[in-house]
Amino acid sequence: MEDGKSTRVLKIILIIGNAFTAILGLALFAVAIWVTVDSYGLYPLAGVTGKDDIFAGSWIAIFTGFSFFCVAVFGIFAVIWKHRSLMMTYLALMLIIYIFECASVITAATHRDYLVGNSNLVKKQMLRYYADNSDDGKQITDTWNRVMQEVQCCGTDGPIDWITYTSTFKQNFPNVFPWPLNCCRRQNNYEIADQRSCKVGYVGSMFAKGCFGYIESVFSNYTWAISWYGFSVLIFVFFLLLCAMVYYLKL
Amino acid sequence: MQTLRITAFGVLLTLAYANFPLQLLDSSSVVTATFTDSVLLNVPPCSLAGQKVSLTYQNMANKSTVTLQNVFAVPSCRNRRDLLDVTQSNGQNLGYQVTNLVSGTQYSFQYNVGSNMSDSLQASTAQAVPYSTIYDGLPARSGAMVVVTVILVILVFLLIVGLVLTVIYGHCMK
Repeated sequence: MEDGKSTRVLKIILIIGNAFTAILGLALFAVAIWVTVDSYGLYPLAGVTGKDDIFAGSWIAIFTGFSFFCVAVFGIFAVIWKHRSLMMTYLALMLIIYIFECASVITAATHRDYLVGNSNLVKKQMLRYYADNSDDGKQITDTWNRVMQEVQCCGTDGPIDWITYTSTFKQNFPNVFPWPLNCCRRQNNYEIADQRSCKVGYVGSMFAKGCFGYIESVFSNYTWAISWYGFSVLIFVFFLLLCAMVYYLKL
Repeated sequence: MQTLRITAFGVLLTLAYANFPLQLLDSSSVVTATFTDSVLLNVPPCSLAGQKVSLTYQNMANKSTVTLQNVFAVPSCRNRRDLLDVTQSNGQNLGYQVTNLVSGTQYSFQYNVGSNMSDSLQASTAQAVPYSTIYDGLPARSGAMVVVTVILVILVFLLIVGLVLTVIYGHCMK
């Protein structure tokens, strides 16, 4: 059967579009692996609250990213061979992957809002679990100790959190120190530079800024990687699938 | 000339017995001046260097008064060379910490340095709020989430409708 001009144009669009979708799918796969690996090590903050679906979204995106790659390559062959049932298979598979990817995008964006929409959840979790003698407490304590020293910060909105609110830390260690020792500046050999000045709150001996800005930026980066990038892939694939449906009807 | 001398003497006399200011340490040097069980007060001016300081404070709730005699000596003025000595000892000269206070209570503080008295300072200790009162529910949905959800829901619907129509018309055309 001779190809009409419009059919030929559609064929070229579909081949190039599917090739591009394969590349986009691979990139989504890579970015989702980066989020899942959690190189900033902040998963416990999400895991303890149960609002960890940014990472669930990234797991789904690993599978959908690779699936987009595979099905797009399959689609190129289906278009070249002009096979009706292969095209229908392509359309059905793409739709299923599309729906899963939508779920990943939406859940990542929503759980980011729960976690870091404002500093309340992170603050309450810090006050409840830091220095708590439980598995959750150990994870939160280790995470906060590392963040405070690496980012040079103290508390969620600032060291004042430890004064304004009660905490498990103050309950377990009353009248010892107003805030955790990792809020104090340390020398290169890990000795605290000036413990007495840190206890009093002298800003030269301790970290006076809050850690929430850093925590929020890490979770937001993870979310934008899964949710906004996934969204842009889905918009592109939407138009590609519309073209594929028209091409199928012309076959 | 004589009048001028008397005026000068009068002014000096006033200054010698003036009340010197008493404040909480401000946030440029410390994180907070009011803890739940202590407050940080500034030290008397260095013009009174070397003299012993006594502190009197009163709990405004139960009107009990405590006087601490000769708690510290007023630190000397730092001259320019000393400013380079930015060591941890700066923290000690910053102020005086009054401890063993009751949380959430207003106190009145006053220094006594020889014949000089400071202004009276009213300050409250902090009252720690239970952390369970922090509301950690969903603060608000972000614009990103709403946009992404709405657009994707519409697109998925269009795709499903499109696929159904494709199957139907494909079948009819065959």
